[in-house]
Amino acid sequence: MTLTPEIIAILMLDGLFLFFSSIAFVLSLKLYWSWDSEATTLLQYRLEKESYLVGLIIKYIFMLKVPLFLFFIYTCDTLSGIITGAMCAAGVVNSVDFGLFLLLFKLLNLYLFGFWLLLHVRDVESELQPYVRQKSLFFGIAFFFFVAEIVLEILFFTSLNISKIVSCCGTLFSASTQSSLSFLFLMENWMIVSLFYASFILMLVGFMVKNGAVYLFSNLLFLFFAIVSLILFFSTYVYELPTHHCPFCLLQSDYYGVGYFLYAALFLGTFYGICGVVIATLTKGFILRAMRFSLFFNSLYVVMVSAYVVVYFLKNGVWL
Amino acid sequence: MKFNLYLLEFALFSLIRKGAKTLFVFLILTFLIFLLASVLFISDAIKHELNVSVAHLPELTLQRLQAGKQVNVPLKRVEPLLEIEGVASVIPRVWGYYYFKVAGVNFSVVGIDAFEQSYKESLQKVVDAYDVKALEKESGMIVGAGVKKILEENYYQDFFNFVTADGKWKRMHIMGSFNADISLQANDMILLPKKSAYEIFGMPENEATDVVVKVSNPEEIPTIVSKINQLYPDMRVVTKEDIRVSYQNIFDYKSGFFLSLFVVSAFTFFMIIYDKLSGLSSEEKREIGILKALGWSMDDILKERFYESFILCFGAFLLALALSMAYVFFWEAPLLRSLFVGYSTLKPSFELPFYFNMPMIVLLFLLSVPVYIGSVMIPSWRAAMLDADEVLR
Amino acid sequence: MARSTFFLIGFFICLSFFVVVEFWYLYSTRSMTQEAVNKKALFIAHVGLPDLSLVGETRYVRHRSLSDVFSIFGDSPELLEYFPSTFVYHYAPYVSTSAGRVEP
Repeated sequence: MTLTPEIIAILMLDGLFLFFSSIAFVLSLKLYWSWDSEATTLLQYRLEKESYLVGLIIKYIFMLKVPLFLFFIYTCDTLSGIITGAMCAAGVVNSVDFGLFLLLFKLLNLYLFGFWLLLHVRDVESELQPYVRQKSLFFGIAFFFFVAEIVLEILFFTSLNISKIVSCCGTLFSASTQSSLSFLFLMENWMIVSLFYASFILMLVGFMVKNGAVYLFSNLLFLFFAIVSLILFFSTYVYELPTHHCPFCLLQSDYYGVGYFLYAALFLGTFYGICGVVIATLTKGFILRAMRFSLFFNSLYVVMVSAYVVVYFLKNGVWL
Repeated sequence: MKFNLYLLEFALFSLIRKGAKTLFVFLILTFLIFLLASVLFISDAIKHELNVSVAHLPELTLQRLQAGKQVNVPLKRVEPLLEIEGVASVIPRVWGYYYFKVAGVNFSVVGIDAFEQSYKESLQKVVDAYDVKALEKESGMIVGAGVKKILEENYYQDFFNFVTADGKWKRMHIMGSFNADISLQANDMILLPKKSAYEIFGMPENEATDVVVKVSNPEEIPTIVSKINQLYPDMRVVTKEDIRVSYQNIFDYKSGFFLSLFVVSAFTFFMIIYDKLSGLSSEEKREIGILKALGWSMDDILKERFYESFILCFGAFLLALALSMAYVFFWEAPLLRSLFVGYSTLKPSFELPFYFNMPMIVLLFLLSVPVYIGSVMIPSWRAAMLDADEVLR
Repeated sequence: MARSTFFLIGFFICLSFFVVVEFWYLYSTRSMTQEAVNKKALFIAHVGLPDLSLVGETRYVRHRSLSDVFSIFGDSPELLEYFPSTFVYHYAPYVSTSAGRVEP
């Protein structure tokens, strides 16, 4: 176990989050069991006030989780200087078996909390607060994911061993058969890239015809193919190296931290695309706005990654 | 969340109205963030200083361990080491501690080959007022600023009498002192000819303290290390990379200085704020009652409270940042400095190079502001929950 | 807008301005100059002792990178933390890789 100020900060905030989210969890369960907007009892009156606290706590956690996610990646990046063999966050994250799960949980929780907040905004717009029970139940479930994330994070930092030799991203994301992601490399590059653009075109079509289902489906596809194509194809153009397929090195300052912008655009775009549409169909409203947001960020992402390829081709006259 | 200027104004008035309470919280918060920022500034600057110097180290340092203790290396090992492919040069070194009893301080004494031309030229660049000839006579030495000061205090103006291992006196002349730019590295150092160093330490002349190896191609380092390990199993090889890695976590945050400095105080602060804000005075209760009666919603009161705490902690954050920069870099961190320099009387000047990185500020922000906002969250909700009729009755 | 709001905004602007000016001043006058870096490089390249002379109480803190675990232990087995500075400075990880296991 190594303690650096960064890790202390993350663990301390985890402790705070756990404390506050447990309060929100208990209140959510209470709200779910006994919420009755028709009732005029003292209990209902109290519950209405407690639902405020739940909203407050979740807003607080979400506001901090977003920068903390980036900070976590940054911490892993700095730790890669200490851990033997690691050259970027990929090696550090993979130095424990569940590192990848931790990262997935973190992303999933960002989506879940964001979803909750969108639902909350819809809920408090109406004086009747029609979705209190739904959102309480939703948080009741999301809480377990959140706790899992925190537990994994604490385990992750306590089991980091600086003398253990880990693989660097060059071997983790290589085409050799031993690497964990080798199955991805079975697909041809042109196939993945055309699927990526195809899903984007499908999204455009979904936006034109204002069809929520098509749009939602295309966003899910887009998220998946964007990440796969980033690892397989686009990252090589950022690094200008045909053999380097790492989604984490993008975040380093050698590449001007372009990864932070790429991932922000991708996750914001797909978040609005997926959650926005789901909420809109659940509560009937503001679908167009969510779609516009989503399309803007997704297009931004597509333009950014394509620009790398085009600029490389213009500069060097060849494809990688 | 829409921004409401009137709410902001109200928050400001409310802060002013609370006067002493606001000031108290503001000062404590500023002090805590200031303390934290200063520690981070100092440790980052020291790390930066170390990282600059580590880049220019020879690639490998070889120590001989015997029965778990570091012992001298026989000079006859130099030749076989030189024969290893890829090794550019092998330099046996003589260096060690010299305890100056009168002042109770330790000097780091390093022996050098004074006759090499390249040595003289580069030494000339880091030493003020230095006479090459004197070193050649083997009775001259170059001292760090701290050593010079200590010696002067003990009436050694231009020479110093070492007591050798045999108990004899060995007189060395002070030929110059190191430039102020390298005082962090050289403050307690004495550089003298190798022969004198052997005499002072009482070491046999066919031995060396340790051996440094220069390797021209860094790619070959692992191979060379394994070859050395095979050739001399009793030698430990410390690579430049090892040292660089060890500097990444040079500060022992685990054994508590940082943890006890910050986490405990942060949680104490959390408790103080929580306690102070949960106990609502009857006046505050009346205020909230009136606001509610005037038609303020719970949301408005919560927002107003949020503005209040944000003004307070953001102001404290900026003020603490400004103060800590001045404290560390202008005033050289009095009091806090003693954490980092120990209690030896041979203290270097604490003029750290200014080093600033954005992630440190983010770290500082994450360690301070969320804790404060978190601690006011539940008390302000409690206050906002009060009912007009209950309070005003 | 009330006068106190102006005061607040003024306060924040002044404070930010002060931070920026102080930062700029320190950055331009107190950063490590290239000349100093060169001098340090020359010195370190010849002397070959990497650690800073901030702490001089013991060899294993002053020359932390080049000490061995038994010289840390040497003062007395019970008094591993004999000097306060050992609370601040961690020994080099290659001296001992994990607690309880000693790998000199």
